[in-house]
Amino acid sequence: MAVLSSQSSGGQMQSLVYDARLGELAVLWLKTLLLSFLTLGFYRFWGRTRIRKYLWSRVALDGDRFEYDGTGGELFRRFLIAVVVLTPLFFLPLALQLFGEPLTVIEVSKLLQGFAITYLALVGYYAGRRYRLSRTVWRGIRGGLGGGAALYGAKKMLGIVLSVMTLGIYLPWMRVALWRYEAAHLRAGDASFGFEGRGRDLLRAWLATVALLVFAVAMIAGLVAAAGLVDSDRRAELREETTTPALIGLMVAVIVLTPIVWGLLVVRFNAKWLSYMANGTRLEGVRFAARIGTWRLLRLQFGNLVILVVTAGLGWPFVGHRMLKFWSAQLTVSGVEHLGRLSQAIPPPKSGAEGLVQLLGEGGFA
Amino acid sequence: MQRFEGFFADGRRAQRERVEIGLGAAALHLEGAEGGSLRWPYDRVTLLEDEGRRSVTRLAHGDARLVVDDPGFRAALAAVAPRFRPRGYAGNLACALALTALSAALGASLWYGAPRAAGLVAAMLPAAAEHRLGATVLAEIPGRRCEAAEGQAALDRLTARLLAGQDPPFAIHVGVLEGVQVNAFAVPGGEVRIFDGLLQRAASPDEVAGVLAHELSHVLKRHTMRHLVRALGTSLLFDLMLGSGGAVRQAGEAALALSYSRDLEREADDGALELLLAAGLATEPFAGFFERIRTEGRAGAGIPSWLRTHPATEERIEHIKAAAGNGGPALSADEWQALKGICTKS
Repeated sequence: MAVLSSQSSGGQMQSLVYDARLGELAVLWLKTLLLSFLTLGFYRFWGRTRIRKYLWSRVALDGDRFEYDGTGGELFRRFLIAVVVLTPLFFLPLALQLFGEPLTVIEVSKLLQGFAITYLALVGYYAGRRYRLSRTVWRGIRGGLGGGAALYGAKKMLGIVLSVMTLGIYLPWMRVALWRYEAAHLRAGDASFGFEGRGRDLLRAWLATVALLVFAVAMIAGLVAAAGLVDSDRRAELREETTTPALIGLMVAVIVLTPIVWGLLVVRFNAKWLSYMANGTRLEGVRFAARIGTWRLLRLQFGNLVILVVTAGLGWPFVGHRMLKFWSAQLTVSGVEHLGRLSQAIPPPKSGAEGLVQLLGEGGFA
Repeated sequence: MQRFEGFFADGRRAQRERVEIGLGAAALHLEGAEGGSLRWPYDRVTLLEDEGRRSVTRLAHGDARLVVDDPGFRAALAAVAPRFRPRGYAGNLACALALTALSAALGASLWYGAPRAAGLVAAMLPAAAEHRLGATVLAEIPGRRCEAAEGQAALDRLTARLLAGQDPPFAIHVGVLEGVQVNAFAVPGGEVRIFDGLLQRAASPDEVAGVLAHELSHVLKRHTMRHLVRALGTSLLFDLMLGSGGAVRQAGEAALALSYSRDLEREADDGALELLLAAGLATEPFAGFFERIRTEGRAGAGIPSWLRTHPATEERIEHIKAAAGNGGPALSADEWQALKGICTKS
């Protein structure tokens, strides 16, 4: 049998099979987009659900397809709840202004508003994943994500603060801690995922990333400065105005090139991190493996960015499509035979609130 | 009874079994499921629609699932159980039309209802709150306040003359700001500012009186607050309708805001004419100022800012001209000189 021939000592090795077709997705997307415009945007919850149903059903593991069984009505209800929660937050600084509070109070309230929105975005990210997982079914078994979205948001907020305070050194530990938390609460039926990883393992790669950036910026600055000096020598000989053009060139080069170099280096680190994340994650006897290349990841993320920018965020289904295609090609699953031991969680895990995510404009897929 | 083959998962464990399916009169019969046979009444079974794929049929019965990879199964199932018949194009079209009609009704009520709602909300806000808001807006506008005593006195007299018999919601203050802009504006809370540029460009005090009457009428009708409430409301509404709409949202907001501010300008013109007539002032120069600025703008460098925020259409000018009114000059020659020199430091 074909499946058995790929058996190794670690059990059966398999990949996710993803067979969506871009044309089909585009037609469905246009249909839902048209209906959304005709209905002043209200159809979008149902459209989103249809697209998710399409994408989920095109992913198969061990011969069985995934299933998304959420409904548009659910998304709409959760969205309304989020509106009720967020509207007062939206109007807070203006209300204070109308009540004649002093300018400092208003500025502080704006700061708090920004802080609250950031925190709610992090909470919403987790809550959104919880909802989608609770509506994901494979072979009749439902997924789930336990834990607390508020706690996750607080952990991430704290992690960001610590990372900034330690000039970025803390970042690997933050990533590991957050994924460990999420993986430990990630469920397939009544079985929990888990993650074995240590921030220390990523420290070298991370420090190398930072060091490379410093080196690259120094190189750029050095080259431009050298070119500028040569130029100003020549100008001095010709008794022309000096230095200013060279200085401006230096600043422009550093300002333009630094983010590009930084972006490339971060993608390189992220490729390492995602591989590490996959390799350390397990589900009972099932293990995962991935070896993600920098260029592949760069192509994926850059393409996704272009899609979202060009379509003003409306093209999210194609981002989802590209992500699923990427992960089904990169991820190997071993010990698939253990999947048969999964059983349904009773009672079903809670499903959380996705509304927050939508209002805060996540609009994404993950 | 027709027979098909499919895969069954019991919804308790992630295992699949090959089953034989019989389509009975009132139920599906699954032979070989859980080592025996199961009966799924049609009215307890849900058809799981996979977008864009018809060859594979998936059915749910609680957590249990049945997958049949046979293009003929769907039709056979629909034949015995009508509830699984596809809705068809006519049904889809009817649904889409109903949704669209509903949305059109909603959109129309928003389009016509929002300005009125904004007016109601603005009227509910206490005048003191509006005044405080205006103060913070003024604080952010650059430009020195011109305060030559005689000029200010002339301006105050003109303002008082225009406001005679009116009942303003708050104390109104008119001032002049240093700057070349040919512009004037009202902020919430009864504060009106005219730029010195407009005074210098005006050919007569009656032209200034026209512009001032226009801004005063914005204040009397509490337009700035209505505009603010409406802008916030629209922004919130677009958030609700589009989530994060990006470009679409901005275009929509801009279109609505433009149409709304045109309405407000027309209202302010009408109000200005009433104020001018009540004060026994000429209305002709008000229209004349519009026309002159516009032709100058066409010929010369760019459109003056006053016209950009107050788009003067032919219709508007004709409208103002039609309400002919004439009376004595708005200011005496001395007062007019004093007002023009309000920004010169003594």
